[in-house]
Amino acid sequence: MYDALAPAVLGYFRAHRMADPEGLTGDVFVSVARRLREFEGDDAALRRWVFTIAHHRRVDEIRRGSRSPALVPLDGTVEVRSSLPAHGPVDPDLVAALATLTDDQRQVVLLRHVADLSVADVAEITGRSPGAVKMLTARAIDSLARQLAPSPDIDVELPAPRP
Amino acid sequence: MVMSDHDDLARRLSGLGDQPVPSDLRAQHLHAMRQAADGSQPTAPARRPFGRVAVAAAALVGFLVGSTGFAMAGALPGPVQGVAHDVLSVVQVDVPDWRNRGECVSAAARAGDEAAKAACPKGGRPEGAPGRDHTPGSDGAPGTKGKPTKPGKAAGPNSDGDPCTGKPPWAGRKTAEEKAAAKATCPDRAADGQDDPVDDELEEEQAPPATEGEQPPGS
Repeated sequence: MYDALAPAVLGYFRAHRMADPEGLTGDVFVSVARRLREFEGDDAALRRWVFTIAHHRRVDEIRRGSRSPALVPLDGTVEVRSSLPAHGPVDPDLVAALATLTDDQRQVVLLRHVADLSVADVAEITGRSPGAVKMLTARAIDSLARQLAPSPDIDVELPAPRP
Repeated sequence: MVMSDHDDLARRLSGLGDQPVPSDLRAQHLHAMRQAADGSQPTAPARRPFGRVAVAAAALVGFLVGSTGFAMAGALPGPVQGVAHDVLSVVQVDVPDWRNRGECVSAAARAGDEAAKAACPKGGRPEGAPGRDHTPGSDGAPGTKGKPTKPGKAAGPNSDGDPCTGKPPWAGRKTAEEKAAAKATCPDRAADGQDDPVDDELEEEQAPPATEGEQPPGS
């Protein structure tokens, strides 16, 4: 279970530029382990449950403010803990482009494509209608595609890092 | 073209979730998961056993219990004891009210308890003594508040036995003979013309009514 879902959860937190994605991933799976005996369902339900916990944990962290989002340097690379083995940057251009999206767009597009959840599952987790999820996803994909398109005439301006 | 771009973008997005978890991090997470599944909570942050709210609530409860105990023992100062009596009587708690020392003393005397009598609050006014709001004359004793009474001014002619001081003895509703006899007792005042205003009013009242309009014009 951990090997199947942990990379996606870790990538979800990293793409959200959380300050401690590894710690948050551990928190999610500790919560899962505590209540795993109460769980009933198939693999899809397990994935939905795990990412529901991850989503709530991210919201809690943002509200608490104890772990402010990591700052993305202007070169688009993601800060990786020095204690971890070097496993290469995680698509820095894509992560930088994700930083330009609204939080709602980034939320749904990561749950759809990184967590690999259905529209209905994303709608349930985020509390939105399936139509709103589709619209936000489409706008996010269009925005990412425009920014990542190879066009020498267009300079992608990254937003100022959030305090 | 657009679809292929979007497909490529979707693949790149999915790739964000395909990065392997470092082995040491994986070992840490699995160890924490095993401990959590066994019932221990190694990653849970230590919480303070008592918060500020709990301390404030404990202080409030202590104050209420202590003040109620003092009130039930009658050990509070007089006015505070009275307030405690009024407040706690609402919740059916019997607390003595010793705002009046006399009640305390009489109750102790009826019970024959000298210790309780001695424990009655001191400093109260004795029962029946005139207080600050005592009205002069209400119990026959002169009051200590207000202006002293001037002799011969407000007192009647018989207050000091001298008919030539105070109210003239011929004042009031008296017959002419009685007035003459009274004036004879104090001829000096009668000669000064001090007459009874009430008598004048009485004379006016006894005057015959006006007959305006009844008599014909020119009569």
